[in-house]
Amino acid sequence: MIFWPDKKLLQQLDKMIDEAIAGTFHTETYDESLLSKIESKMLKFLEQSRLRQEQIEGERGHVRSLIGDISHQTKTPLANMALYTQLLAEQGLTDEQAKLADQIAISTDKLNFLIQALVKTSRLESGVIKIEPKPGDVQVLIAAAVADCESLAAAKGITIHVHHTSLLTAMYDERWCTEALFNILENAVKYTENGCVIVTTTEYEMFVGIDVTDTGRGICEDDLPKVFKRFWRAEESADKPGVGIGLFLACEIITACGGYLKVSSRLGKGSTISVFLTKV
Amino acid sequence: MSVLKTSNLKKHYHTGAVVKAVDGIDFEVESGEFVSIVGSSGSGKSTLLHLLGGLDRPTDGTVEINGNLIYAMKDEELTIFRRRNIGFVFQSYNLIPVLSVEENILLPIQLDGNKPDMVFVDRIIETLGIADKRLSMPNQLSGGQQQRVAIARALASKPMIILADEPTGNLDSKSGMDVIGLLKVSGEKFGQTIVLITHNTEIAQMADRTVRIEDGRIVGGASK
Repeated sequence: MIFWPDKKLLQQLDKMIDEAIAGTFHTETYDESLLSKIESKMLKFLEQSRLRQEQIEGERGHVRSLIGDISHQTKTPLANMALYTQLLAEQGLTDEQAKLADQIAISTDKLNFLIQALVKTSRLESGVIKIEPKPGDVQVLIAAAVADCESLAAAKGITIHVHHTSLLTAMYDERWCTEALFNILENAVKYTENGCVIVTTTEYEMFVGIDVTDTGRGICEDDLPKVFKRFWRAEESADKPGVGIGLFLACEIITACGGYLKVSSRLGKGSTISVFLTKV
Repeated sequence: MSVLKTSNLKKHYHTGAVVKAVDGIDFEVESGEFVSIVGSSGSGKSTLLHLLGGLDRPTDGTVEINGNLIYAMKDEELTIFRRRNIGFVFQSYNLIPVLSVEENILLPIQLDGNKPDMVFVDRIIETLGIADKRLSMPNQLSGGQQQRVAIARALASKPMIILADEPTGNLDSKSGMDVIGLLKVSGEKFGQTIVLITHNTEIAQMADRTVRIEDGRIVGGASK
């Protein structure tokens, strides 16, 4: 039961908690009063939380070095596997043997890609890579990503149309957002058999939207929320190479820039993936 | 950790025939999640949101917010609990017309007798792009801007959960996209748990997870 004269005490406690939230808490007195006892306990509690925080930071550091090790240590054996498979293929193999060597080469490629992508996402998540969004021209970003994807599209006979608009400036990290947009374009090209990929921009009050529309196979409605999940791939796309990490990575990067991704699709007609970046 | 959990939640209306607006809903929302509840009009989604937010009392079943069974509380307790722990964003922005943007945002904090954390409030105002509108009155703003103020108001008191009921219902599709985008981005930035109700599947799929309801029951997407 709290009596009225204790109102001052409650106010004192309220002040202490405010200070604890602001991180400015300190003990003022040491005496035999209950308040002084509470102050000491609170200080102990805050100290424990701080230590726990430091522990977490430490563990994050371990994860970081582990990722560094994995990416460094797998490089040489992977390169060797690729090299020796190539040498093997040049040994005048029988058709049957050549097929097997081919399979090794494909799997090596896949493993290499997978490790690279995993290392990249882990670096992003553990904060090894700092995404630093700066104001920039959106057309520059689009041009860079399209240029990276053009040969891939040309090989499939698909053209990438970019509809230019007036100057739009948004917050983005040039290197990483180019990669994110490239992943989205690559995905669009991969799932389009004939037709084209169209890139348009839309200006909103708070965002700049970049829409990447393809005329591919589309995504069924139930699968739409899964598109940006790690390792998710539609059952129907088992015939295509890939591990389901490109769009996940793109989503991580765009989110880190303070933007977001959205997908809309009609099965058999095509899909649109929209990148929203903070407008400047 | 689940922030919100319903168990066998029901709301039946006895108006001649029995109308089962919400008819046995079990679902959970994890801390920091952005979940959308999608359904056509009359599917019971608004009744469900009212039950989740402690604005109505269920016929049967429980709603648990952060371990508190909210319908075990007395009306007065529930009112205070709601003010401290739940942020609302409605289709009609519900801003107080005689208060400025900033006063509207700070109101729920001050109602609870607390001093606002202005550093946090400034970050919210900045994120929602209404920094230059702080001193404006609600009627000087566009619909999209008013809804952004309502979102800022919901975020400012750091609630356990934000419940948004058709927040883009009164907006054109472009401003609607802005509002949902900002809701998503600020939810991400401030680690805020959000439950969004909409009939628009395009908007619904911007959430981390979508729950579809029909005739007062979950018909899809409830699992994580």
